[in-house]
Amino acid sequence: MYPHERSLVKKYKDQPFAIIGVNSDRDKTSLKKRIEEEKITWRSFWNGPQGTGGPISKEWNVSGWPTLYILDQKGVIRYKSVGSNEKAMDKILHELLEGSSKKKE
Amino acid sequence: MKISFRVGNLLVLIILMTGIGTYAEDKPTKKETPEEQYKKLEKDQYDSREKILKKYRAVPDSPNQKSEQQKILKEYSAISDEFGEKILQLARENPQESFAVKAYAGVIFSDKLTPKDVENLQKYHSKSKEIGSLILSFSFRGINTKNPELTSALSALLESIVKDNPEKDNRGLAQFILVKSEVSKFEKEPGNESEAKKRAAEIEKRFNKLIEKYGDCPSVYAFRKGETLGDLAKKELFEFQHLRVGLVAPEIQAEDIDGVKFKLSDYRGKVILLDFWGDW
Repeated sequence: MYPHERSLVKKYKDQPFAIIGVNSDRDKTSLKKRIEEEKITWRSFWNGPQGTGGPISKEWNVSGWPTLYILDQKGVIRYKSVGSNEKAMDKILHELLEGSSKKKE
Repeated sequence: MKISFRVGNLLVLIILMTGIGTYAEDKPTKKETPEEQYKKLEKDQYDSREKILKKYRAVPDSPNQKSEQQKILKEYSAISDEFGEKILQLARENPQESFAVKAYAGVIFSDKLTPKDVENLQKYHSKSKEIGSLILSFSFRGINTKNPELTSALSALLESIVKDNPEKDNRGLAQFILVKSEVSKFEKEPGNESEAKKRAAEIEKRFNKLIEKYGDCPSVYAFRKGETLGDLAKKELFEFQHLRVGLVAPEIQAEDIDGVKFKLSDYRGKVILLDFWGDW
C-alpha cells in the first residue's frame, strides 16, 4: 500500500492530486514514528482514540481496512472499494488526471 | 513341542478365515448412509489436513525451508480439492439430505457451484435453519455473479427463504442480501436520470421496510457487539444515499494527526485518493 501511494505522489506531483488519509490507529506516538519510517508525506485525518470505531469511519460506514475512495475535482465519488486494487485505482486516476489534459500526446 | 506348534498355526489360520468370512458377510448389510459417508469424508479430510500441517510445521530451518513449505502447501490444497470434489459429489447425489446444506457451504464461492445446485437448495432447504450460515457469506460478496443463470437462481433461493423460512433471522438476512444486491446492480448501471431516480427511491423504500420488519434481527457482523440488522441497514442506507459513486462526497471536518483542524473540501479542485488506513 505505502509504496504504491508513494509512487502516485511522485507520479502526479505536478498534477492537481492529493492523498488524504483517515487514520484509525489509537496510539498517535507510535503512529508518528511509523509515518516517518514509511515516508508518508500525505496528510491524514485522525479517527480518534476509539481507533476503527471512531466517528469518521463510523459515518462513512467503513467495514474493512483499507477502504479507498477516489473523488474527482468536484468532490464527486468516482470509485470506492474495500481493499486495495492498484490496477483499478490507477485506471481511474489516469482517466481523471491525464484524460483531461491531452496536451502531452 | 512340534505338534503343539502346528496346532497353534492351524488355530491362527482358522481364526483368520472366520474373520474374513464375517467381514465379507457383514459388508452389504452395513452399507453407510449418505449422512455417515459425509461425516466420514469430513473426518478424513480433517485428518489428512492435520497430517499435512504437522509436516509443514516440522520443516527444518534450512535454505530450502521456503520451497519445502511451498510444496507442502500445494499438497494441502490438492487434498482439499480432492475432498471438496467428493463432498460435492455426495451432496449432488443426495440433495434432499440435510448435510447437503453444509456440504454446499464449501463450494459456495467456487466456480463449481451450478444453478442446478442452487435450485436444489431452494427446493429442499429453503425452510432449513442451517441455510442461514450458508447465505451469510453473500451479505459480503453479493449474489451478482458472472453467470446470470446462477445469479437468478441465488436470487430465487433468497426470495424463497424470505417467504418460507420459519426463522425470522434467516428471513431478515435473506432480505438484507437481496436489497444489497439491488444496490450493487444499481451502482453498476444506474440507467438514465429519471430511471435512476425511480430505482433509487425504490431501493430506499426496501431499506426502510427491512428496517421496520427485521430491524431487531442480528447484524451480519458478529463481531460488532450489540449491532442489530436494523442498525446495519440504516448505515447501508446512509451509504447508499450519500456515499455512492456519482454523488458528491460528504464533508469531513476533523483534526489531522498533529491536531490541526482541516476539511476535506479544502482540497476541492484536486483529485483525491481518500484512504481509510491504519498501520497494523
